Amino acid sequence: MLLQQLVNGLMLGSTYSLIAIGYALIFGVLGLVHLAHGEVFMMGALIGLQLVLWLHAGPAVALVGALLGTAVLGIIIELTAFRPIRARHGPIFAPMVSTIGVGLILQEVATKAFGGEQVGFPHRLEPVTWRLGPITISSVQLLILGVSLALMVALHLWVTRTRMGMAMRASAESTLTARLLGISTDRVILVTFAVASALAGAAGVLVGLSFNAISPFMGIDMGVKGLAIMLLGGLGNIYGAMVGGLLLGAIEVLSVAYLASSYRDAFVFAVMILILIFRPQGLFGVGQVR
Amino acid sequence: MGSYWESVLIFLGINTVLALSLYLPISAGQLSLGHGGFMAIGAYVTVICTTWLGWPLPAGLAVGGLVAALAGALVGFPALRIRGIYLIILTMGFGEIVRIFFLNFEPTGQASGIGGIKHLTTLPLVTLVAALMLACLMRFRGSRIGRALRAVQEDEVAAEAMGVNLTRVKVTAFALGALGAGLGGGLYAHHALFIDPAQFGFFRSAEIFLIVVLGGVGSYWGPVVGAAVVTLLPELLRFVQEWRMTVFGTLLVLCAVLRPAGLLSPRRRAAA
Amino acid sequence: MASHRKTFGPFVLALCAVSALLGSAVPAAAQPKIGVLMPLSGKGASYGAHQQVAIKMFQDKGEALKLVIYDTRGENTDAINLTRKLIGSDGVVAIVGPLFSGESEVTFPVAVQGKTPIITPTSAKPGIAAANRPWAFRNALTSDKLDGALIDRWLAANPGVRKVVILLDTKDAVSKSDGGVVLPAALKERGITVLDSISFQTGDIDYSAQVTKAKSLNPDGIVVAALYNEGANAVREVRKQGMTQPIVAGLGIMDPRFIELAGPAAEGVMTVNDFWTDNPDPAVARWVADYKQRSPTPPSNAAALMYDTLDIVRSCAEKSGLSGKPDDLEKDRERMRDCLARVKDYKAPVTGGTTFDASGDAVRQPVVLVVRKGKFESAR
Repeated sequence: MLLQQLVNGLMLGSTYSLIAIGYALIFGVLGLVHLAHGEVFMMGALIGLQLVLWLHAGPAVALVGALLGTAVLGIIIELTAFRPIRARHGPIFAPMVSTIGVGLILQEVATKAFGGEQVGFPHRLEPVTWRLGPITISSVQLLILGVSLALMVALHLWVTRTRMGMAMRASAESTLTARLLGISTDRVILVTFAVASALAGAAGVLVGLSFNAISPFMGIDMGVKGLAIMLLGGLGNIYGAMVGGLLLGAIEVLSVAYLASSYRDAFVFAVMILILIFRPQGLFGVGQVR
Repeated sequence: MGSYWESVLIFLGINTVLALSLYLPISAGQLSLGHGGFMAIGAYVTVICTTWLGWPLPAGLAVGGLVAALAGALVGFPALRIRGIYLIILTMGFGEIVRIFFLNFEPTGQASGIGGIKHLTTLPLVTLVAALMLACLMRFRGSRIGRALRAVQEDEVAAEAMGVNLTRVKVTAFALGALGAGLGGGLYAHHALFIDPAQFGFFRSAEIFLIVVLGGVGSYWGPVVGAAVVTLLPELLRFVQEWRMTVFGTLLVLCAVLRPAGLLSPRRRAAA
Repeated sequence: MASHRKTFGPFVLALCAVSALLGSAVPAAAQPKIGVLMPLSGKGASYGAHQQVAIKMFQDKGEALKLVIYDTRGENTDAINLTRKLIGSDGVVAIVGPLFSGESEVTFPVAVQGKTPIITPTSAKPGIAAANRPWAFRNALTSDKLDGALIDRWLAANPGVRKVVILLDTKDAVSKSDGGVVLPAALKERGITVLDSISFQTGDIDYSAQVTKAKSLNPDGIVVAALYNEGANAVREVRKQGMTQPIVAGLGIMDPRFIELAGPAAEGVMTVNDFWTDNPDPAVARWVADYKQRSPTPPSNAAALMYDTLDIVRSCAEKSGLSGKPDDLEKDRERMRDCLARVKDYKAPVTGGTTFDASGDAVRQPVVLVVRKGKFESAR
């Protein structure tokens, strides 16, 4: 059973990773926590679902559509909720309040458009299951793992090989220096938001396909967890977020398997608190916490 | 005054108490998103005192508040080494752990909660508690600890250099904040007449946090204004019943954009 | 700087004053009013939407009941405030609602204090009406009255079952009580061993860990106690992992969307309830057809029970000879209360013969249902 549970954990964890990476990207470049990121994830799932229903299409279309749709959504959020505040040099709270507002709006819009309870992808997209010895694995689980890994690799390449990617890393290091070097930080921020949101949107479709539980409120739980993972992995650290997500998925699944599920969240948070106390910079964070 | 508005005002008073109590640690630079946990502790302990032991409400509130304060001091110590966003996560984790504890704790009904609580919270009582808290805060400001708190808020390193005992200040702020939340929880329990762990989860902590930062942390009136806005606005927005949360969310965004330092802040910040 | 602080305070106060004036309207109607509490936004909004359709159907029949409808958002705070508003400002003779058991927990004591009868069409948590007599009533059935018949039928259909695993939602009070107390008792009475109770939480999306654990225990049958979302996901996961054991589910899963969400995995699942959309009974079929013309989604329990509850309330309003005058409000409320307490074998249009027992809970003939070919069917 242990092996199967680990596989379960990896699957769950890879979706967490995608969301955590988004948080890490935005925090790295802006130093801010985007509290509506969970809702972007939710919108990704809903956009994907609508595309599948309207166009009678398959998961690939849903994925691409959600990626694009949430990227646009991310840009809109940055332009309306973050940029105006930055221009006024507000304190750290202001963007948080703003994103809480955005989250509420997205939740209500989604509720109006799609109904308040959970819906699922149509069953013709039902996964095929395979048995490999003691493990059962489904086509959707493989899809999740595959797409997540592919996206993470793509991100890594983009961040290390392309000009825009490197500009983003520069801005994350120091906005001032980046500007002095001629980088348009405003544009970098837009791109960061687009990428982070697209990843979250993809995660939304993947979760929707696998767990069949799309609702306007699915973003809340995910949002909190993603935040925790970013912390675990080290603030603003993309690779930490990737590993942290997988780790959290495994911890969660194992704690459900061997303890009662109602203690699951408590266990997860307890682990996080211990890490915070003994290693506040996270597993992969570097240097002192200022 | 109608029974409806009396109830709304009682909730307003409770939210004010909660907001003022969160204001303390926040004004010491400690962003806490776990206040729901302290509220839960206060609520459950107070209910145990009044329902199982038959004590009058003030006694129950006192005990509830004290237990919550103890919890606050406990959280305050690890919080010393942690700042900013990390502290937010730590406190959030604490809040969730409390909620999950009560979700599993058999004597208090687990998910079914406790019902049949006597209605002991009255508008005069809530107003009194809120007013007392406000008065304490005002006096606090002038006292040594209060001035130390403000010094810490401005610049921790300088404060420490001036001899402010950071540990004492921060832990005290946390403990007192928890005390207030415990009182708020007890008052809430005896107005809602039913409590279950779901009432005190992350949503609650986020709501209290929102109230404080919305009003602005520049002064202790900020939480009062924030509580008024957050409690009354949904009631006032009933005429847009179906789109209430959208309107509320939009207002939040506008507030954040137009008044980033909170509703009570000056329009132009003086040169920082 | 100080000027901004000064202007805000008075502004907020003015806002309060204006709304206070607007809020405390004087009730003057000569027609008795019935209050309705349901979630139209936020949590449970989709149930509220179903109930709205049912209300419209009721009103279109020409029934002369004046309804005052408020949105609770599924929030306890709103439910409390609005109950007070209905009783104090709006002067209703009875309240239909609220939806959630949590909301009922907080509103029933208010109704008792305000001496106004309140009847929830849907809250299924055991004991809440009993704790608030004589003013509180529940038109929804509870598991303790139904599970015995359900387990009997399930065991009759699956005689090889000796040991089971229970999968339950411990965050939802009703499922927790069903899966934690009522079902285990019914099983034990019939000599079935419960190997383990494995829990999940409302809102969970991943059940792989729980089902893997259940699989490793090798039960003969699976018992699920959850709401339709979680139940459907759990059942899907069970079949996805290759388990073929028979499944029986508590009444929490009862909703057409259970089948929709669970897909082929729902086939053969047995449960119990008093309303299902494919009931061949002509009265029910007609009602469902009418509902389907007005709404793209099929009706759920929430809608059927709202309709029937309104009907019961209307019948009592007519029979009790309410005067509708503000001075007689107290008397009118007492008349409604007494009439509701005496409801016996009332032929509710959709859910059939209803009686309110001494605890204020509804008693009806339950039907054991099984999913066959994508629809619920009577298991007889």
